[in-house]
Amino acid sequence: MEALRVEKLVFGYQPDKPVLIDVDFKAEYSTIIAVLGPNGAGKSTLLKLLLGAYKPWRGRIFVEGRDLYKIDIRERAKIFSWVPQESPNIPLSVYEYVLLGRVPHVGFLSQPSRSDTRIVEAVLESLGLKWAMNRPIQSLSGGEKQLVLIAKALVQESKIMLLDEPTSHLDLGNKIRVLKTIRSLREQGLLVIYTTHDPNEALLIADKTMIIHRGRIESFGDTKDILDTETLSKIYGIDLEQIDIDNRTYILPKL
Amino acid sequence: MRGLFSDRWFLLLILLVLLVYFSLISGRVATPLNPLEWGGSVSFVVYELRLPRIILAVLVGSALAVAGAVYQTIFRNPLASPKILGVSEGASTGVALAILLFYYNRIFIELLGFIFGLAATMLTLYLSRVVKYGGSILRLILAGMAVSAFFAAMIGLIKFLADPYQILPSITFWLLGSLNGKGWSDLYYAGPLIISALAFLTAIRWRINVLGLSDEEALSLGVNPRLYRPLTIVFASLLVSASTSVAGSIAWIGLLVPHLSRGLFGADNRYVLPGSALIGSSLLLLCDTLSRTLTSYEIPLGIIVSFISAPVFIAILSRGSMRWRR
Repeated sequence: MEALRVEKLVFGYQPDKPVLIDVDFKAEYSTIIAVLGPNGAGKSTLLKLLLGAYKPWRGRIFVEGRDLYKIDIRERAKIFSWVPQESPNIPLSVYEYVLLGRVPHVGFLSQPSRSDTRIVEAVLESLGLKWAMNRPIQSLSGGEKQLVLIAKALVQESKIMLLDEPTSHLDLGNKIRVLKTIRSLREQGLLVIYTTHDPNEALLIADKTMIIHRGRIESFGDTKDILDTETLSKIYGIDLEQIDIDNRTYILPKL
Repeated sequence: MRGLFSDRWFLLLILLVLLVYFSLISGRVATPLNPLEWGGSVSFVVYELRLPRIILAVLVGSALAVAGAVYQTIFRNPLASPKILGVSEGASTGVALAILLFYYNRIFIELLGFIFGLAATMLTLYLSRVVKYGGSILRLILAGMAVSAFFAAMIGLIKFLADPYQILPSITFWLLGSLNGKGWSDLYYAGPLIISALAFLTAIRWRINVLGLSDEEALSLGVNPRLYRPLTIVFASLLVSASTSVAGSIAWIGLLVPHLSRGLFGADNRYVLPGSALIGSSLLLLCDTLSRTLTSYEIPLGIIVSFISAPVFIAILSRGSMRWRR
């Protein structure tokens, strides 16, 4: 089923300075899409538009055929979940923070119920975070914090998850742990859209890759077809080479 | 899990009940320990003078503490207090102006204090949209600083204009904070306002956590920060305005008590808010009882609160238990 359709999106923060130009794509569930592009290309802006944080100048976004901007905010929160780049600087414990993912499912004047807390416990268990439940978020390592952010998005039980550079601050071990978690989301039927700077990471887990350059989609399609050294060399302005080993492709810079 | 009836809650509740009883029997009129023996003039003193004042102290204490907890969450700032948006300065200006214009008409004083407090909030909220510097939270704080400075200057001007023999001492005394002479009539005015705002904030206390997140994150959880932040701020400011207009300007409760509550219950507002209400009401009731019993001449409440709170604040900070890592 078509999960998401974006039509001719145009948007900018200041008049006459569009950040995104004619962005146009479709996506289905059980898919991981990596959004790749140089700094300032408009990757994060695209995610924020999908979240509904801003209204586009032109163009429309459809979720399962429904116009996104006609769906009310609380309903939207059950469709999209959001994993910010960094964990918030607040003194909540891991458990208290992750529980906030249940906010869209609980009535305005109500408190979370037993079933909400059970969902939180199950998700923390599945991500191996149960031990950290009562620790303050700020006391965790970078990788653990990133998993906590994903846990909060998971208890939201949304169908589409947006992640803003989930691996950019992480060491190698944590990076792989987070990537494995993202890969498991596809098995759960989610559409995952995440931004990254690393083409090899996209080659590792992404079904599809979107390359954004100066606000436009340079190319979008199956990761293996899209990620070629020619395109990437052009948008990053450096020399790259492709290396194939054991049926796996790597893209490496030439100095 | 922290149930609502675990030891700590129970102890806080017992503490409050004991303080209420202690306050009922203390004062210049000797009062028997057994309530059944309260009769005649003692009964008048207890039910007409002490009881309404005790209820006011409990309400004002919870109001200031809960407002402080809400501000600290929304501004992601452990030092935020009811002063941050210029609310208490605004309410104090209203009070001072009313004393200047109508001398001692109690209704005008409280009404003008309340209106000015809310007006200061609205002004801050409006100006935060005009400011083009920093993120949404910083804009509010900057606007609040300006509004606060403006109303502080207004208070100075009113004091300067006031008759130095009669009006000026009365303004100064009121602004020091006191429940001296407050009774049922003040309670009928401030009580419903404070109770309804407390009830609303208590009902949405879990969601208030979300307002401390970034705009995008709040939005992703189905909470529009551009709507719910101002709404929550207005209710918190309503608490401060009503309190200041009836009890004068009382510092520290809104800053200190939320920290005590977080020390006991963690940072989740589901527990911080009720905890702050209990601790704030006990602290203010204790201070008010001391203020009317320590010496034969009543010491202003605001002074006692600051004397007690300052060392407690340093004590919390030196124990390093302030749950707010920056």
